[in-house]
Amino acid sequence: MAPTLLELSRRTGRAVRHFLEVRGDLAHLVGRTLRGWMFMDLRRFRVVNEQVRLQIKFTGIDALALVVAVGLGLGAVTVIQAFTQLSALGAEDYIGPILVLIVIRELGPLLAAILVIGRSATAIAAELASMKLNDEVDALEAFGIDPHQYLLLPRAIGAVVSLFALMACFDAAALAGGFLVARIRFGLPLGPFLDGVRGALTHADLWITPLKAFLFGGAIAFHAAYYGLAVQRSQTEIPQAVTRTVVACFGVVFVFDGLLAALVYG
Amino acid sequence: MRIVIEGLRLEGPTRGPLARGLDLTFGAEQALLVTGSSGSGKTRLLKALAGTAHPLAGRVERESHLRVGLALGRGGLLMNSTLLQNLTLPLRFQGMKREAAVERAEEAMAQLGLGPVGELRPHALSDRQRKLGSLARVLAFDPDLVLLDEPLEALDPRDLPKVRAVLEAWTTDPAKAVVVATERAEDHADLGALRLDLDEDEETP
Repeated sequence: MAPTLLELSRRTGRAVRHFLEVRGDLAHLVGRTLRGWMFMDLRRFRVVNEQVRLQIKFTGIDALALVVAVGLGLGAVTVIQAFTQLSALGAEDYIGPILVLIVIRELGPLLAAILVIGRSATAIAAELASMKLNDEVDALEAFGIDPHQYLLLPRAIGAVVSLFALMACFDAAALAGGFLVARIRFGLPLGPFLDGVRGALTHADLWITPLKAFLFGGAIAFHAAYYGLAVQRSQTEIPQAVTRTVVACFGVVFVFDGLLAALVYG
Repeated sequence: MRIVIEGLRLEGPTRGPLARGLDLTFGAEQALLVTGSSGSGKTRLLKALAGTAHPLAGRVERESHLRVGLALGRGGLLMNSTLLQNLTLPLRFQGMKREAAVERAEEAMAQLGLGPVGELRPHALSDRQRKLGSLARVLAFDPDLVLLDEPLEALDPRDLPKVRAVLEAWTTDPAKAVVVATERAEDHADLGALRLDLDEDEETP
């Protein structure tokens, strides 16, 4: 039997309420973590800083080779596809600007964020869920260790710093990959290529990358932490938490990306 | 130090004081033995006393600066850190320098015979060593309120004298309050007069 209008309204209401509850809980989590950061003394900061370094190593350094490889490939493929079309029009000089438009503005930050979601957000959610079920979070709190300071803050800082570095490396690798193909396959010299890239870059391109790293990285870390710490009783909740993390992170990253594109370039 | 429990009701238990609402007051130089079958709410009560479990009703009142040490029946040690790091973390977070924290942690581990496994992570330890590690973390932290969940479970007979000596030192320390939760009250016959049975059907007059 088809659901009645009333039932559809109820379902919609429940979904909206759940969505708002999750945003409220996330805002609370972010607020508590920022407050923990602001009121942290130097000795605690040293302990937390060790965790930040570990997070940067896992999210940033360990992912570097993968990000560079994907960046090189994307740059190369973009140039192969674009050059065929552009050369027919005698517009080979537009290779650089096209790489800036496609890779640096949009795909670079987005793909770096997707790789971080795949590698790190899943790991953060699974690790925190496992810690919660193993009573590690309760034990930390009992001993006077604020989980927001010790668990969440390092993961958020680590994700933002790493994502910024990965976005920069991804962009550089994509430009290098694009240039290598343009040079080897089509004989494009370095000078015109760089001139094209420089000409297409705007001031907005320079500050939007750190802004995206901040927004994407923060959103990824806090969504992963939220869904990880939301488990209650069973190990079977861990894969569910990971799945919810991935879906939520994709959603929020695409929404932020769309909003920024509309606000800055629209 | 004074810990006041008023009308405390926790999620889980369907009978006994924690289902009806528990009232209890205890303080320094007192040891409270909490007994009850599995699922009666012993661990949850310890977590409520530690401030990490939120009650359905009622409250636990204690001084905010109280140092609390919690050794859970299972788990609780950070799996991504070595045993030594597990012991030093609470001390360093309270502001102790790393060298002093390591010294204190090594003393605690030596007292419980854990010296050789300090650099291992909990997943590489036996259940017995993890249990001793949890107790060593409390010992190193030197808390005012000691909360222990089945402290003698999973131990070898050769460990018992060492652990009993530590328990006795805690329960006779005039600055400490100790709460021991167990299914086996007979293992703690020597513990103080304050007892709470979470399986109790009727309220004691």
